[in-house]
Amino acid sequence: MDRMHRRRVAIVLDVDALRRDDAVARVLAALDGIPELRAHRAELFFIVAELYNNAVEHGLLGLGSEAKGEPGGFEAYYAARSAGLASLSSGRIRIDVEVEKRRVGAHLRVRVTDSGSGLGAATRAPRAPAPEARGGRGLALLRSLGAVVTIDAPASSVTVDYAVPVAIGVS
Amino acid sequence: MPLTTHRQEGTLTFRIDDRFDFSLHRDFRAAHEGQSGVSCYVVDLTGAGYMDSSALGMLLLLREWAQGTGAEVRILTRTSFVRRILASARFDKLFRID
Repeated sequence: MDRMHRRRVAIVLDVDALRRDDAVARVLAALDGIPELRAHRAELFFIVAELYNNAVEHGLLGLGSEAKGEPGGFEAYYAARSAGLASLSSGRIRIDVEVEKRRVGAHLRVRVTDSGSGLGAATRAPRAPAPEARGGRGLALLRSLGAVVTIDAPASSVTVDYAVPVAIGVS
Repeated sequence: MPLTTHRQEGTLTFRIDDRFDFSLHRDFRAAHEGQSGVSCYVVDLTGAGYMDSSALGMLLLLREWAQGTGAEVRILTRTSFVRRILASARFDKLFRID
């Protein structure tokens, strides 16, 4: 496959980069200009944000989404995320994105791997929670959008495959 | 500002531009908990092209707050992706979405 048909972006985030917490914006900027993705930036943002936030919150920091459901839990959860990143002494997240042009549309693969030993990838079950649940629905939503979610627990990585449709009109 | 609020009599409107994600959670909560006498909260997402699942959690917190005061919550969106996310999360059963 020549470069015209496939584009790869890999971003490795060390502790300093994780503290800046701008990985999602960096990935979107790196993929800017790919015609097949132009009308699908919202999906791209959602996919990368869900996988990256899961890796930070569950993988590196060991936070459990169920805590969001307790009184004041939502605020406490994000306060713990900020505090956890500020005091992080080691950890790494790698984001790999591959966009392959297809005869119709494109195929997008996003893989996020974390070095954490907190709540591993296996616990991020893509079940569909109740509509009233304050959290724990990221991977279930990805599946409902038609993405294929593959969890590699030993490697602490989650991969999303998404068939990017051909843009018709304005998305 | 990604989050701006506008109060007109009993209606408090939150306008969110660009990204509706967890980075807004503190401002979002402060904006509705600091107000009294609100009968309708409007979350205007017409300028928000991006959202993640934490935004759904924030909408639910607003709904819980509104239920406690007998107020209603409306969501405005023109973005097809945001609409898809809200539908996938079955938020059409919990909110009025226009």
